[in-house]
Formats: sequence, structure tokens, C-alpha cells
Amino acid sequence: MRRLLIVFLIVFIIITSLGVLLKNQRDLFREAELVQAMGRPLMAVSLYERVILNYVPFSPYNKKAIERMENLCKNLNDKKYKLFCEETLRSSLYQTRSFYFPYNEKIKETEKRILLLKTELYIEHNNPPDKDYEKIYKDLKTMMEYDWYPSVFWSLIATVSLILWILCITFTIWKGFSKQINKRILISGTAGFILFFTLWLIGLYIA
Amino acid sequence: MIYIFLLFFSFLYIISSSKVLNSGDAGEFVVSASTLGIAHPSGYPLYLEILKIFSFLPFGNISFRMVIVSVIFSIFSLYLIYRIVLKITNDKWTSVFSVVLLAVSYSFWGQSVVIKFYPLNLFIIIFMLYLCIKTIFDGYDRRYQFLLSFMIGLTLANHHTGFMMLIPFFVLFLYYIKNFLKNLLPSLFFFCLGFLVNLHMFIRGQKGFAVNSVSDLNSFLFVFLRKSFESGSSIEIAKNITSGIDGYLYAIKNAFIVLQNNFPFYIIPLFIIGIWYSFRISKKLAIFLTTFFLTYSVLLAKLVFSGSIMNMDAWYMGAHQYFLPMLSGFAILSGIGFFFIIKQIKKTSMELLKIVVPVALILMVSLSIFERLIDQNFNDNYIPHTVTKTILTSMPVGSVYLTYGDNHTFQSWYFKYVAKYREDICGQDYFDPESNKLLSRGCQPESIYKNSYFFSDFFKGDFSYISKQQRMYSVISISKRNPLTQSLKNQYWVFTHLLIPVNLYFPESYIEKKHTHWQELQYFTMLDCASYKADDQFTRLLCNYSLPFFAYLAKSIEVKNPSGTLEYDTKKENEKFTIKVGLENREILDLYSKVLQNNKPERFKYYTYTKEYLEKQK
Repeated sequence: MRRLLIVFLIVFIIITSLGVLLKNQRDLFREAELVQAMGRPLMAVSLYERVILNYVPFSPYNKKAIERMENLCKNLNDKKYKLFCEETLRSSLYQTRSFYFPYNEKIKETEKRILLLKTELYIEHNNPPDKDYEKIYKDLKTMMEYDWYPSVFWSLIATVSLILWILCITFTIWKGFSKQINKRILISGTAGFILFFTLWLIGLYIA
Repeated sequence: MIYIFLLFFSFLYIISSSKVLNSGDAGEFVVSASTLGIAHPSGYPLYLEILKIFSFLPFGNISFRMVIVSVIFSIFSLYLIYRIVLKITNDKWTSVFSVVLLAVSYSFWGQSVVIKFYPLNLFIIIFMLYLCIKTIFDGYDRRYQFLLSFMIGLTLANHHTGFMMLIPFFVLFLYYIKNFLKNLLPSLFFFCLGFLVNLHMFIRGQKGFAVNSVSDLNSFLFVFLRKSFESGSSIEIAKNITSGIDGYLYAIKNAFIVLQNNFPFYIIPLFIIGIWYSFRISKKLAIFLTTFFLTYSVLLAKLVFSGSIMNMDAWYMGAHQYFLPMLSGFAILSGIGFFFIIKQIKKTSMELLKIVVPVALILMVSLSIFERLIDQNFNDNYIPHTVTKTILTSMPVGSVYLTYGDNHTFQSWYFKYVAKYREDICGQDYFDPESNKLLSRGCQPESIYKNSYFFSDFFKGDFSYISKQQRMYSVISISKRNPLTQSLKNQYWVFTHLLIPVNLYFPESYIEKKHTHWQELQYFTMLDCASYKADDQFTRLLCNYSLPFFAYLAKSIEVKNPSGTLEYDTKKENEKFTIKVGLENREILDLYSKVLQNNKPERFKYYTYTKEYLEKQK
């Protein structure tokens, strides 16, 4: 019963989180629309970004905010502002990735535009010789493509295994060392520990 | 009944929690956790792996998911407090009283709603405390000893203050010395098993993002023992125990101030009664609880918080973070005092009082909720996110960004490695504000940047081209003592300084025009600074630090018909500039005043004890 209540508590925390995020999304979206109507596009982009950062799966505000940002990016004439807008859209989506990547189809299109914008802006700002254009583009691409994020699968294996081997030891101590030593528990607990500990090490190594 | 309270506090913590990156070292924790790397010494592998699991939750953004770790461990700690007090008093109202008292306290709430390892640390400590209390009431059981040893090992993979539980353990196990010694060897074995979590550092020390990489035993010990903090390393801190009696007096004073600012004054008599009454319940219990309380109050304060006068940052980091176990001990002992009062009332024939007094006391304590929903409400605190993003946005492609201090540095790491915002910017942090030694931690993997078209000269130590092209920025102005000052000079930019060669002249209007290009974003950032509610010293620091740059924006705006002028003193190395006031910059100046008002040091709970306040009084 007590264990069930702890699960219920965690479920409650998740549901509350979703509710609060959804409310934030609604308020921020309204604010963003207002600011956009007032002719402040950069502020509007920042507020739409916050709508995405308060991401709720299947919320209509996610899609609306992305669409508004895309339109804003298209209509901005200043290249620096355009870069800010495109980078904001891409970055906000990266911050919402979990074991899956919501709206990742948007990322590739955005990245192409960002790379071109950065190259053009760099050339305008620094006047490098024509022969270097390709190198500039290539280096910017390398920087953009490098991702520190480890493998989702192996990260999950590693972190969940850590929790499981800690639980195995706790279980072994609790059930195996009661007044009479319970050999069966000791053996199964130790086997569990070895299994998850090994998985943990492998997961950490490969991730 | 307790579950209703726990649900209620879960709800409150979630609504007041930070929805994006919070200030301080949160940025670093998010980066280290999401890349399965290592955080600043002592590395925090256990915390990072738990953060990583939560990063897979499919809602919010990565920072908010990691805040949920704090919420959950705080709620678990509250539940354990309930179990402990219930075990001691066998009274549900008393247990709820202790839970509410702790849940609404300033620092407990504050740490529950941001990314910080203290709630996890507290959970482990309170779990150990619970096992000890069970030993006192149920008698010696070797399982408790083994579990405690395992927990001690685990806590060394999180925060070292958990290790101080050895002191109350030692006192408790003196009562069971024979059994304790008999099971010492397996206990050591379980301790080692818990300690094994630190293997994470060897495996991920060079694979994930690591503030200090770990590759062998020496580098492991360097991180684990926090040697980079020099006088703040674990070994040096431990030496403080024996240094000077004065330190103990200040420690007592400071610990008392922390208690005074976390709990209502009328609880203190309950706490005193609680100590006395715990002796009546069981001498063993009283000695153990008092030892626990003294360890995490006076002794901990002596080690890390025994200055006679300390500045605001020290008060924020010390008072607001380290003492959660002391606050928990206080809540438990006050609960025992509450139990005594209730017991006395129950002996009388006044039936109404038997219900009214406990309910009234719990309600009185609960009133602090309203205060906490203001001073610990991070829901609208986007400042760490926005300030850094605005800075990065304002820089041209291929710039170098020099940072100093946790706030700017860690937040820039977050944007680079997690948010993947402006990867074309190479972050470098000052080893020391007066040194030209730069650490390349915001420019990783170095091989990509070092050999790139943009930064190869910079990495060879030649800053002339990059600074001439206005692609070098610094959060702090280069001081006269820094060797960089021989070749570079500071120019106000968007919440940073643009570093240009000393012999290069730009007309001021040229830079000013470029500065105003980002007026809308600077204004947006300052709107946040003018409206956030939380009493967060590092957020305040970020806003106040950004103010002179914002004033420079007001100066940069062209005013056609000035109604007057303002002499602006930056309070740094006698730097002053004149702002022409007019319709064009009126909005900026009004917002400046609002930011100043919202970020007054007086808003800090501990302000009246700080060096800054005392100096102002003189």
C-alpha cells in the first residue's frame, strides 16, 4: 500500500508539472501574441521560445509557437535578427529532447538556413578572401554538428542499472541478513548486483 | 493524512519551481548530467546519474526535468521526517507539525525548487537518521549497520557533508559496541560497495563533459578531495575543527541566525522543550539527536561558515545551502516539544483545546507558505537564461567570449553544450581576473576550435586579429593588473565588454550604433530583472551586474531634444559617462530604475548580517 502511495505521489508530481507547464504555455503565448502585435519581433521570438521551453506533449501551443517563430524568422529582414530567430527556434527544440526528439524534422531545415546565415554574416563582418568561403562554411558546419549528447539507449541502460544495483544491495542486506542468514536471497541479490553493476559499467563505457 | 500534506507540498514546490535554467552552478550540472560527465569537485556522480534519468521525462525542457529531482527528494525527506517523529512520539499530529515546519522553511523550500544536489544529500542523511532512530527504538540489528555503511559510501558519491553522519553513528554504536565491532568487516565491505558509484568518474572522466577530467588515481583524488579549492578542499576544511575557539563562537552565532531566519521565533521554546523532553523519552535518543543536531549546526558551521563578518555571497552559499540537515534536526526536536505541549493539554479536561491547539499551531506555521510563494518562487525567473542568451546573441559569428564566475561561465556552457545555441562562439573562462591565463572549457572539443578558420590565431596566443575584428568579448572589464591590458582595452557592449586593441580607434558613435542594434533584447532582459519575485542572490547579482551596460545603452541612444543630462558613475575604476535624457531613452531609464528597485540588496533575507550592510551603516 505504502509503495503504491509513493508511485501515486510521483504520478501526482508529473500531472501537476504538466498542468503548470500548460498554464505557463497559455500565458506566455498570449503575451507573445500581444508583443508581436505591438511590433516587437525579437521579444515575441523570446516569448515563443519560452512557450516551447514549457513543452507539454500534444499541447496545441507547441505547434503554434513553432509556426509563429518560423513566420517571424521569414519576415525579419536584418540578417543578425534572422540568425537570432532561427538559432532560438533550433535551440529551444534541442532543450526539449528526451528519449525522443519532438519536432526534430524542423531542425534540419533550420540548420541549413543557420549555416548560410552565419557564413554570410562572417564574410560581411570580416571580409575574408573568396577562396576561404568553403573552409568557413565547413568549419561552422563541424561546430554545429558536434553533439555532446551520449547514446540515449546506453545512457538509459547505465543510469537505470545504477539504481537497480543500489536497490539490489539494499534488498540483499534487508532480506538476506535478517536474524537467520537467507542464503537464497544472498545468492539472488548478489547475482542481481553483479548483473546490473556490469550493465552499469558497460553502459557508461559505451554511452 | 501525511499523504495529503505531501501532495500539497509537491504541488506548491512544482508551481514555484524554476522552469528553465536557474542561477549558480545549475548550468554546469545540466551539462555534466546530460553528457554523463563530471561536475566540479567532488564530481557528484550519483546526483548526475539521477539527473540524467530525469532528463528523459518527455515534458518541459531539460532544466525543469532536473528540478523535479529536487522536488522528489525533498518530498521523500519530508516523508522520512514524518516517520522519524512518528516513531519517537507515536502521534500523527506531531509528525505533521514537524513536516510542515520544515517544508515551509526558507532554505528547505528554496533548495527544493532549483537544480541542486542538497535535497538528495538531505534524503540520504535523513534516511540514515531514520535507521539510527529505528536502532534506538527497535534494538540493534546488523541490517541497519550494513545499510548505514552502504549509505555512507553512497553519500561520498554526492556531497561530503553526508560523511559527517559518522559522528552521530559513533555515539550511537558506543551503546552496541560489541555487536558493532563484530559486524565491522562486512560493514566496511558495504561501505566500499556504496563508494563504487565513484567509478563513474574514471569511466566518464574523459568521455563526457568534465570540469576537471579524471584519467588516473591522482586526477581522481584531485577531484574527489576537492583539491582545486585549495583552502576549501575537503582535507583543509576538516583541519578547521581544531583551529581556534573564536571560530566556534562565530559558528554558534551564525548557525543561530540561520535558524532564526528559517523558523518563526515562537518555535524556539518548543525546540528547547524538545531537547529536554527527548531526555525524558530516552537518554539514548536525546544524546543521539543532540549529537546529530550539533554535528550539522555548530560543527558544520565551524568547518564552512564561521567567519565573523561575511559578504552577501558567502551568506547566500553558506546559510542558504549547507544547513538543511540542521533545519531537519530542529524540526524533529521542535516536534518533540510540540508533542510534550499536546500531551499536557490532553491531561486537562478542556476538550476544545485538545483539538484547537495542535491545529492552530500547524496553521500558524503554515502561514509562511504565502511568504515562500514570493521569496522562493522561481516560476517567472528566466533571468539566467535570458541574460546569457542576449550576450551570446549580440556577438558576431566566430567570437571569443571570456567569462568569470559561476553564473556567466556555467550558463554559457549550458547554451553551448545542451541548448546548442551559437556553437560558433568559443567560451574561455579566466583562471583569475588578474591573470591572462584562460581555460578553454567553453570551447570543447578543443580540436575542432583550435584548428578552425576562426580561432587558430587565438589559440596560438595572438589576439590581435580577432580583437581588431571586434570578435573578442569579456564579462569582466580587464583590470589594470591583468597583463591583457597591455594590448586590449574595454568598451561597453551588451551586458559585456568588447575588447579592442589599445592602439585602435573607433569613433564612439560607431560602437554606440552597433550597441543599440540589440536594444529590444536588452530591454526584454531587463523587463525580467524588474519583475522576478524570488530572493535569489545570484539572480540579483546578474541583474545588478548588467545595469551599467544597460545605462550605457541609454547613453548610446541618440536623443534629439535632451531635457537634461545624467552623470552615470559605474563605480568601477572611476568610470563615468554622461547620458542625455530625452523621449527616445525615457523608457530605458524608467526600466533602469525599476530594475534597481527590484534588485536592492535589502531584499536578501540575510542582508542585515552581511559585510555590505555593516559597511553601509558605517
